[in-house]
Amino acid sequence: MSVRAARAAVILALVAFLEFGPRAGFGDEITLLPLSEIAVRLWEMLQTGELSEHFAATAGAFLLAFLLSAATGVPLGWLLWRFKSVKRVLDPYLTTYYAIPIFAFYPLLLAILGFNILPIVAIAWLWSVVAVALNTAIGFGQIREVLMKVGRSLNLSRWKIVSRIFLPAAVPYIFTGLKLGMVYSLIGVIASEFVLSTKGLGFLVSYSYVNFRTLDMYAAMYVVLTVALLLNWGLNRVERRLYARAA
Amino acid sequence: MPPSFAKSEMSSMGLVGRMDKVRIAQIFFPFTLVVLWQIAAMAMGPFFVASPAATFRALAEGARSGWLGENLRVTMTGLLYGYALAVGAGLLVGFLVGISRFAHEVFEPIIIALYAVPKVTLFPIFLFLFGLGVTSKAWFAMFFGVFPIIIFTMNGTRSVRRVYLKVARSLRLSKLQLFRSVVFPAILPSLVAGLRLGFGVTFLGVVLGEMFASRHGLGFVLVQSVSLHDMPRMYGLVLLLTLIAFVVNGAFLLWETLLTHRRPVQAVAF
Repeated sequence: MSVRAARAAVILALVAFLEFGPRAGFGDEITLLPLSEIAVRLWEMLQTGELSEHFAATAGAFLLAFLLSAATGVPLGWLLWRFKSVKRVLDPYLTTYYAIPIFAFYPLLLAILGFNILPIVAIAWLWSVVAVALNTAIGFGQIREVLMKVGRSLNLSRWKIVSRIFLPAAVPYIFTGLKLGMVYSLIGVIASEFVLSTKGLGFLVSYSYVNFRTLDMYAAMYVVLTVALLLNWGLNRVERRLYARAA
Repeated sequence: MPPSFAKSEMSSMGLVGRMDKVRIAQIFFPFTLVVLWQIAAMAMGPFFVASPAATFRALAEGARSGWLGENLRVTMTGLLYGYALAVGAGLLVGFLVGISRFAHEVFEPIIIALYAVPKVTLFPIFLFLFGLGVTSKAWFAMFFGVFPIIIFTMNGTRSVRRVYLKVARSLRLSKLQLFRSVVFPAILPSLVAGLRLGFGVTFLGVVLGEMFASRHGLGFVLVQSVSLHDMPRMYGLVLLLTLIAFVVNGAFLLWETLLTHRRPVQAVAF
């Protein structure tokens, strides 16, 4: 059996379990609902536009957080690469960064910034900027010195070396950083919305849960999962293409 | 003496002076942060930033009156159960998927895709299945922490060099001997990296779980303090959680460096 066929079979089995597991009495029938019922409700929510407000809130916060972490993370990564001693000093702290439960800062930021979009964007930025910076720094380190030497021996100006050689060579690596930045921003936004907020897809899941609207809750969950999986899939495709071209 | 060895020794001797400066700067870094914190507290006032002194007082008060120890115990219990589950399941699944090339090719993209999904929104399902309390929290945290452990175990097992296995076969090692003296030592460094990253995410899962639905635990007290606007207590809790993460992670990093004599993996976790 080929790998692709086996993978498709595994995914089909998972989907089938989501449909028939609840029907077969795995768990109780009020709380675990079959996929088809959820899909019907989701279709309804899409038609009535109940989702659009939450979708827009999540998308806005996500875009803001991602742009912020791209605009700050890439220059920070460049600094880390340029000033090696700074990176060496910070290394143990950078390695530990993602061990910190960063969402613990969310209540603190809520108290400081108020109940609005700002603490959500701030958490998503905190969660993603270090991934962007680290990957940018690692990426710049991968660029082969010989490329720059060729540029210098051709008497290219400093600007031309940067624009024609350095940046094109760095594109795939920067993209990996930005990819992580997107994934992290999305997780940061949705998790903050879920814990405490008044809008967004994450909020819709927790609000529906608290108000016993189980069907709505699952519909919102499927939206979150679909958005995240599609985003990952698309980003990975672009990434593979960039690396294939660079090789 | 092989040339590579001579070279590495030379460069390490040249590095001694500089390494010391790096170490000193590393030790000073946290103090710099405390100084910056103090300055921020003075500039912005206690409504926004609790001063380091006020924060320590809040923690000391918590330790004396008992709420801190009580909630710390709850959080650590959830963390312990969740982490034990994550380690058990992660090592087992990672190893089983890793030893077969076919299974690895089939499951790797699926596992990676699941890893990158905002898992926190699935918490209600755990509440439905296990009810409110330590069981749902532990399983939820396990669901967070299991992915890095699976991925690192799987890739570690995958990358055991073929020649080691051939040598083992020509020495006629039994399956058990093969595992104990060849496979296990070869995959141990990636196991430890996975265990370290897995711990961080499990911890996050426990705190998130407590923030969302709980009556106890540090995450719960943290969210509760928002409505009271008790800044010193919030800063104290965030500081405490950060310190716990740093200490445990530091221990894992030390173990990793001792095993590999290399710098630890700077992988990032979702």
